[in-house]
Amino acid sequence: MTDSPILALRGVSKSFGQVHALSQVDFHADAGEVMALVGDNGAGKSTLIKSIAGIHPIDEGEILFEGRPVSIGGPKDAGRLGIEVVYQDLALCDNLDVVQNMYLGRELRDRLWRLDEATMEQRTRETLRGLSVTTIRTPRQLVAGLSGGQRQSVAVARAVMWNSRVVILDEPTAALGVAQTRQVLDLVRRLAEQGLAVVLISHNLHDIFEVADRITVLRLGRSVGEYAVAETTQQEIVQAITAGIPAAARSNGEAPV
Amino acid sequence: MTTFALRRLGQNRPILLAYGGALALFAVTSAFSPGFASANHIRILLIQASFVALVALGQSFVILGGGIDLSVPWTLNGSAILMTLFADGQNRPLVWVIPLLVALGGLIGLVNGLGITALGVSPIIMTLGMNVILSGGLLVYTNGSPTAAAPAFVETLATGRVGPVPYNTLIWLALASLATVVLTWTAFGRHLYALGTNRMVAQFSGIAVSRVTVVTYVISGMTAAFAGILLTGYVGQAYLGMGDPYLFASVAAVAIGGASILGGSGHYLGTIAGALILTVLAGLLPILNLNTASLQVIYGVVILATVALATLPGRLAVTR
Ligand SMILES: Nc1ncnc2c1ncn2[C@@H]1O[C@H](COP(=O)(O)OP(=O)(O)O)[C@@H](O)[C@H]1O
Ligand SMILES: [Mg+2]
Repeated sequence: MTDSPILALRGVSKSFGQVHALSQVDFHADAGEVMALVGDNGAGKSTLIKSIAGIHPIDEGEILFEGRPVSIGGPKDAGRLGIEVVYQDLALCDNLDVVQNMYLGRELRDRLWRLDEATMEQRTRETLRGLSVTTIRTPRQLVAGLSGGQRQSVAVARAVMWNSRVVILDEPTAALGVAQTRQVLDLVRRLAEQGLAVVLISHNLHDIFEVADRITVLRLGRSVGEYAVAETTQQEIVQAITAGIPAAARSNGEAPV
Repeated sequence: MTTFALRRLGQNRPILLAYGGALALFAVTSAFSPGFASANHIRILLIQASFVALVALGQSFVILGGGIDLSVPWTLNGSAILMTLFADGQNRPLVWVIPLLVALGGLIGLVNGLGITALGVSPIIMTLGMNVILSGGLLVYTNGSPTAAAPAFVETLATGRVGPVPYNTLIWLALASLATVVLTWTAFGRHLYALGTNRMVAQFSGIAVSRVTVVTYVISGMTAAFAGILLTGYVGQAYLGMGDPYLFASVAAVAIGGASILGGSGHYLGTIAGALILTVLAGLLPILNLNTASLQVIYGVVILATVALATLPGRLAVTR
């Protein structure tokens, strides 16, 4: 590859005691593309993104940002690099409102160290509008009262608000109905069109084939291979997920392992 | 914005209910007991309420963050006893004694907080253990014998007044304002609410969850120690066991004030109403021919009831 990808993992391993959650995993994400990350339950998808976010320190291997090795010690470090993660079920705080959630951990303060609620509210409105999220009536409603689709929209908006370069979404549509899944997928596509690198974890191959450009398959903590959506089929991906067959992707010389 | 935060607080139904309850209870008790509503007696009520309210200030921070501090009784007691020992009835040493003891309270909180965050000890075990250690240590240190009387200055702080308002109440008001500012208008306050609601979300949002947790226990240790000093001034001396009522009283004040005992919701303004309710209730008991032991029953029932209420929605959701 000529240009180095925004984000790349090389030979990353991570164990929890006896469990090898990740073994020698290679992975990358490029600007303006949606990279899907698929695999069975327990394949290591969530562990992979938590390693990227610095929540789980990796045992081996390296993480490269724009080609340079970086060490990410926690969500703050990741955020500084422009990497934002929307965690499965753990994205938002229920008893805070939309604005408070958008700025949680990164609140704006005035000169007296007081929370600058007015500015935070204004920017929240702008961000939601910029992403064409029209379903949130008022940014001052509590997140507890939002539908699943609205919650994901807020979580995604929160992730992209910080001039982020890489946005990682862990099963954003898992709990959503058809219309709400539609909303979120549209949003994912829009992010890529705005030039972000998007990593999408999903179990729904139909969705993935609709919005993703490439697919990385994990199986039992190892990367099976990388596939261009335009050149593969759902069957091939299913085989890779279940049987770990790397298949024809190798022939175009792009697949790692 | 300022107005936004106030508006939201003004819409907090549990807190409004707690103040309504305090007023109603006060009205009923006054009706049965002439003199209960006299200016003099109101001053006494305010002073009595301040001790619970000060201990409950730190307890509010701890509980909001999803913890609990069971070491307040002997933190308070230790500070009271050491104050009388160090000052030995003199005013002058108080210049260093009071700051030292408040700092010591903070140190106790720091150890609690570090045990909970760094060693992963559960808050109940950690602070209960701390309470036992402090009580044992003080028994050994004092040989169980009573100590000197409270210095005059501390007595003045606790019982004197400027115009119609007790100094004690002014001090409480100042600390209550500070607590309100911190909870309502600072990022620390915001992080505390997030932490008490969902620790993982807070952590994944980049909040320094351990640091915030530790700070709440430090605050609790400091307010308990300070309350011990004022209480000694009010009682006139320090004695072993004087902090014991303040464990359940502080937790009950927080709970009655509309906070979730599991963390994440509530406000010190509610806790103030809770402390007032408990104090008026203590005044009502003799009128009903009940002794203070019944107050303990009420604390227990209140705490259990609020815990049950706080966890009810979750359990309903699970069984549904
Ligand atoms: N914090 C943890 N402690 C111990 N084991 C873990 C932890 N997180 C994940 N694992 C294990 O690592 C493996 C990969 O899990 P995970 O990354 O959650 O898979 P996925 O998201 O693909 O379903 C599983 O075997 C899981 O049990
Ligand atoms: Mg997962």
